Amino acid sequence: MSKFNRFIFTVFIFAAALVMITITANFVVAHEETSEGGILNVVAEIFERIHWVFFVLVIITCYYFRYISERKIFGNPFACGLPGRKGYKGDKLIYQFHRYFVWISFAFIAVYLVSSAITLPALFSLVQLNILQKTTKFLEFFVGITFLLYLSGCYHIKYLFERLVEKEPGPCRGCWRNTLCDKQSVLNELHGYFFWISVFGVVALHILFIFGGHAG
Amino acid sequence: MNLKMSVKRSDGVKIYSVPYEPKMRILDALLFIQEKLEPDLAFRWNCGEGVCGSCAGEVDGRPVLMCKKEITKDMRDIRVEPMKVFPVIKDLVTDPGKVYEKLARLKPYFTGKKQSNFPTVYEKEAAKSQEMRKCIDCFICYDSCHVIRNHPQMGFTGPLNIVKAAAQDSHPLNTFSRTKLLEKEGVKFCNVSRCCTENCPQDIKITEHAIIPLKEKIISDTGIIGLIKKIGKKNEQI
Repeated sequence: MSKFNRFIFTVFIFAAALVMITITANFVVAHEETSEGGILNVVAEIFERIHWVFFVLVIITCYYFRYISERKIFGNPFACGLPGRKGYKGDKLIYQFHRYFVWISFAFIAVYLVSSAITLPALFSLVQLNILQKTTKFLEFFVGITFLLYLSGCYHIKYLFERLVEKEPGPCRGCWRNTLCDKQSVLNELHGYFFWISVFGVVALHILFIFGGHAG
Repeated sequence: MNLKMSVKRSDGVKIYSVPYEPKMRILDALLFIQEKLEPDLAFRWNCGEGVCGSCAGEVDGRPVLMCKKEITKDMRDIRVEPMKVFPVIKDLVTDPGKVYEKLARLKPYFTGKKQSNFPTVYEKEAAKSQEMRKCIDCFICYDSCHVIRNHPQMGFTGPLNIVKAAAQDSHPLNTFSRTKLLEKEGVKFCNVSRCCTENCPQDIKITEHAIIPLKEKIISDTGIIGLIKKIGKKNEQI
C-alpha cells in the first residue's frame, strides 16, 4: 500500500510538473511573439516562467501539506500507534525554507492580483473572447485570491504577528496589533480549507487551459 | 455478555473474561480483574476521571487514558498494554523517569534576568500560556510520538517537554530564551504528523500551538545566515 501510494504520488507530481511546464512554455512563446520588448516585458516573461515553481515550493514545504503527505502518502505513520517510515532522518532542512518561499510567492501574487485587477474589466469587455476563456480568466483571479488567503494563514505569518504583540508590552486590548493577530488567527484556522480550494482551483484552471486556451 | 481482555503482564500476555456493563471503561474492567480474578495485577490510577493522568496505557495499540476510554458494544476483544516507550516496572506500570531527565535540560523554570515590573497581562496572552498549563503529565503524547517510538537514537525531547518549554516561554515574566536548548534537544526531528495532538486527553493543540511556533522561533533566531554558517563549518570539517 505504501509503495503504491508513493508511486501514485510520484506519477502525479511528474504529470503536474509536465502539464505546468508545457502550458507555461506555450504561453511564453505566444507572449514573445506578440510583445515588443522592454524591461517590463522581460520581467513579465520571467514571472510567467518561474512563478509556479515558487507556488509549488510553498505548498511542498507547508506544514499542512507535509502533515497530509507524511500521514497519508509516506505513512510516517499511517495512523497513530503504527510504526513510522524506516530511515526517517528528521525534519531538519525543509521547514527552514518555507518562509522564504512564502514571501516570494506573496510578491508574485501581489503583482498578479494588482495587474489583473487593472486588466480584468477591459478583458471581459472584449468580444473576441469566448465564454470558456472568460471563465478561465475569472477562475485564475479567484485562485489568486484563495492562494493569497492561504499564504496569509501561514504559520510563519502567525508567528510573526504573535511576536508583534509580544514585542510591545503594556495595554494592548483592541489595538491594531491585537486586531491583526486575531484576524490572522481566523485565517490560520482555515489554512487547510484554503489549501484545498487553491489546489482544486489550480487543477480546474489547468483543465480549462487545455480545453479553452489562455485569455492573455 | 463477557469481554475478552488480553492484558500484557510482566510474565506474558494473559486473557481474562470480564462481564460487560453499559458505559463501562477500561479502568473498570481492570479493577474487576484486580478485585475478582488477579489481585496482583499492577496498574496506576488515582482520580478515575481524567484529571491526574496516572492511568495512561495502550488499548489496542493506541495510547489512551484508561479512565476515559469507554468500552463500546463493538469492542469484544480488547488488548491492554503498558506504554511502549518506557521500561516496565511491573505489568502496566512503567517508569517515565527519562522524560524528566530530558526536561531538566530545557530548564523549565525561571532563570536569567528578572523583570523589574510585573507586566499587564490580558486574557489573550493568559489563554496562550494557560493552554500549555492544562497538561496533566499523562505521557500519552510522548508515547504516541513515532519519532520517540521508532527512532530513539535521535534523542528527540518529545512533545511533552516541548509543551512544558512553551508554557514557560509564554509566561509574561520569562526572559530566558530556550531556542538553543530546544534546537539541541531535537525539535527539528518532529515531522508534524499530529499524533500527539490527536491523542492528547486535554485537547492541547501541541503541534499547532507549541511545536510549530517553537520551530519558527528557532529558524528566526538562527535564520538562513545560521544555516550558511553551519554549512561553512561542515565544509571546514571535511
